[in-house]
Formats: sequence, C-alpha cells, structure tokens
Amino acid sequence: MYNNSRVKFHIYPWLSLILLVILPSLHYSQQSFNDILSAENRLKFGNYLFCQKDYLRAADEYREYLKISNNDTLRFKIGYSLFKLGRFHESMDNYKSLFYNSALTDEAKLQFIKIKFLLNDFADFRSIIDQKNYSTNNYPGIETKLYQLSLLFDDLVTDSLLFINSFDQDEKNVMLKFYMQRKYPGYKNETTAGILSAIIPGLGKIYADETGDGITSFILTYALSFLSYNNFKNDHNTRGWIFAGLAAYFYAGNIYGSLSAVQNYNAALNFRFDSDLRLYLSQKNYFIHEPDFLCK
Amino acid sequence: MRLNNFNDKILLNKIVRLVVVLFFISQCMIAQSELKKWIKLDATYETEQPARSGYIIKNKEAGSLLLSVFKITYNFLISDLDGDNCPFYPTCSQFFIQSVEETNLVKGALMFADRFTRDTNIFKRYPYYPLHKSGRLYDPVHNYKLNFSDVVHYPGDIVVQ
Repeated sequence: MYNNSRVKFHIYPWLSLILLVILPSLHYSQQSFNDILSAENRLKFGNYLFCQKDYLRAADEYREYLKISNNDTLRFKIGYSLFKLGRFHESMDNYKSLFYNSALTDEAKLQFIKIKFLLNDFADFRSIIDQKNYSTNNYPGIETKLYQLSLLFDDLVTDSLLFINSFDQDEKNVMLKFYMQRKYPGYKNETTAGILSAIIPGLGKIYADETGDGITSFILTYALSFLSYNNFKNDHNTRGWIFAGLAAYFYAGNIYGSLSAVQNYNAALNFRFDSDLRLYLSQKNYFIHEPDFLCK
Repeated sequence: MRLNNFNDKILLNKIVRLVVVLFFISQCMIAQSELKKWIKLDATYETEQPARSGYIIKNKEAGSLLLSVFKITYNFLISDLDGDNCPFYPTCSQFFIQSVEETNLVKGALMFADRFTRDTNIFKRYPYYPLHKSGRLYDPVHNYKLNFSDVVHYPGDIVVQ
C-alpha cells in the first residue's frame, strides 16, 4: 500500500550523484588512453610484437613511433619485418634509407644484397655487386661468397679454385660437394633413351628411372603387336592392320615418351640441387650475422 | 494541471507504465516483422556438375576441324559413357587438345600416346605426381613438349594451384 506522505521521488540528488561518478571516470579513462598511445609505449609494444614474430603489426607500431622520433634501428627492423612478410621490394627500399649517415649502413647493405640474391635474378645481382655502389666496408667476404654462388646457380663457374677459396675453411668441403654436383650432375642422355626404346619398347623409360612406365609401355606395345600378328595369322587382315597401326602408334609414342622422361629426370636433378643448396644457405643465413636486436 | 489527489497520481503512474510497456512491445513487434516472411523450402540434393564439353565445332580451319571431330567422337563414344575417370589434370582428352594446340597434330598425338601409357600404369600415382587443387594428379603439357627450358619439376608433396 502507498503512503501518501512518503511517496516522493527525488531525482536531482541521484542524477547529481551519477554525474559526479561518471564524469571523473570518463576523464580518468581518457587520460589513461593517451598514455597507452605514447611513443614509448608504442616502441615497447612494437618490440614485443616483433619478438613474437608479429611483423605486420610491429612495423605499424614502429612507423607510428618514427613520426615522433627518428631511429635507425627501427628503420632496420621495419625493413626486416617487410622481408619476413615477403614484401621484398618494399623491404629493399626501406633498407636504402639507411645507406647514408647511419651506424647500420653496412648491415642494411648486407640485407639488401641478401634480398637481391633471393629474388633469383642472378645476372642483375652480379651487376649490382660489380657496380660497387652497394658494397660494404666491413663485410667484403660475404659479397664475394654470394657472387660466386650466383655463378654456381647459373652454372657459370669457370675457375673452381677461385670459387672454393671464396669460402671459409669450415665451408669449403660442403661447397666443393655442391660444385662437383653442379659440374657433374649425372644427367641422362636423351639420344641413349631414344635408341634403347627403339630397340626394346619401354627400355628408355627404365633408363630414365621410370621403371613402371617402361614396363607398361612394353606390355602395351607387345600386346598390340601380338594382336596384330594373331589376326593376320587367322586371316583377319582388317583387324590385323588396325592393331598394327595402333602398335606402331604406341611404339612411336614410347620413343617420344622416353625422351621427355629423360628431360623430366634431368629437371628433377636440377630442382634437387637448387633445393639442397638453398636449404644450406638458409641454414647459414646466407653467411650474414644478423644484429642482436633482432630477437633471435 | 496539478494532481492533488493520490488516486490521480496512481492513475498517472499506471498510464506511464502502460505506455512504456506498449512502447517496448511495439518495438519487439517491429523487430520481428520482416519484409519477407519465412517460408518452407524444399531441400535440393543436386550437386554442381562441371560443364560438359558439348559437341560444338568452334573453328572452321582444317586442323581445328579435324581436332574437333576427334574430340567430339571421343566424347560421344567413350568419355560421356565411361564417366569422369581420368586421374590426371588436365584429363587425357584435354591433354591431347592442349598438346595439339601448343605443338602440332603429329607431336600432339605422340604426346597423347605417352600420356595414355602413363595413365595405364596404375602403380604410379600420388605421391609420384603432385596434386592439383582439383584433387587430380598434376601432369601438365609443358613438361612433355621436348623443350627443356619449359620443363618444371613439381615435387610430389605440393598442391599445385
């Protein structure tokens, strides 16, 4: 039941109290928001993201920091982040900004050269090394190694002694192995495969390490030839000629196939050589010692 | 208007409450009503079929005409009846067409004979060939044109896009 004398709703004191609580809290939260986005916090957060390998957001934080203050280390780290993100050309442009008047000039040039090497245009890579514009003062040995390796990738090494001597003592054995592999890759010969397949169908494919295809080819040609012979023998000349035509067709196809099998075999050899060498170089980080600030 | 009477105040209170409740109910009704009413739909279990090649002769040149005749005959007599069985991408008939288009009829026919042999070898499947994104084994034409610079080795553990 309502009591007449006591039913009053005093809204203004309550409203005042709510406003007194809300307004200071809004003010406080706004202040703390400003602190979070301070340059120091962006730098700390960027470093944290960088060490967590979140390179995309780390680069964003570093860029925000660079709007307030210049920092060569951060420019280097942005270049490194872009490289890790696969944005090679952007990364190279970023490193170029450190080529002059910076304590990290040599390191930036090394990273630039490494990316140029990874782009697989070795002729362009060698022309850049020859220009000397991108040469480092402190790491000439690394440039020479990569230069020689670019020649090895393109199969243009002419002086084996010069090639081997470009590398350190502990690397020479591995490099000698790669050099010999490139020099004597163990290619199969197309003509040999063709002749073998002409003598016995499928033999050229077996020579090209395609044993299953070789046996299939032999069975197919043999079966069609037998059918042709059998039909001629039993006076079914029309069928005999049809099977003879098919046998000849697959016989010719088997010779052609053995040539292409050899080409595929040789391409696989090249692929394995490239993969092994790239894996080795990747493990050695392309002979480049990266700065300690990169959170390894 | 001043409400001196206690009953008037109670009445006003009730009216305000009623208005508030009606307001919320109307909002809920508006939110529920949609422009298009929900209706029952019959479920369809049809899967999307790849486009058929069709029996169309597109080109009137002699070579293309011959090729089209081969293709149509093969599709009509064998492929459409036998079904989608080729494990490779491109399929054997597509391989033949591409081979002839990229080289010539004689070389394309030899490439097809070689492909047919590889197709017959049921023991050489994955992982000797890489997978194409279509789920078939990837065996492209450019690796068999006898042009070494065109040959690309695909390791068996990748999916070609």
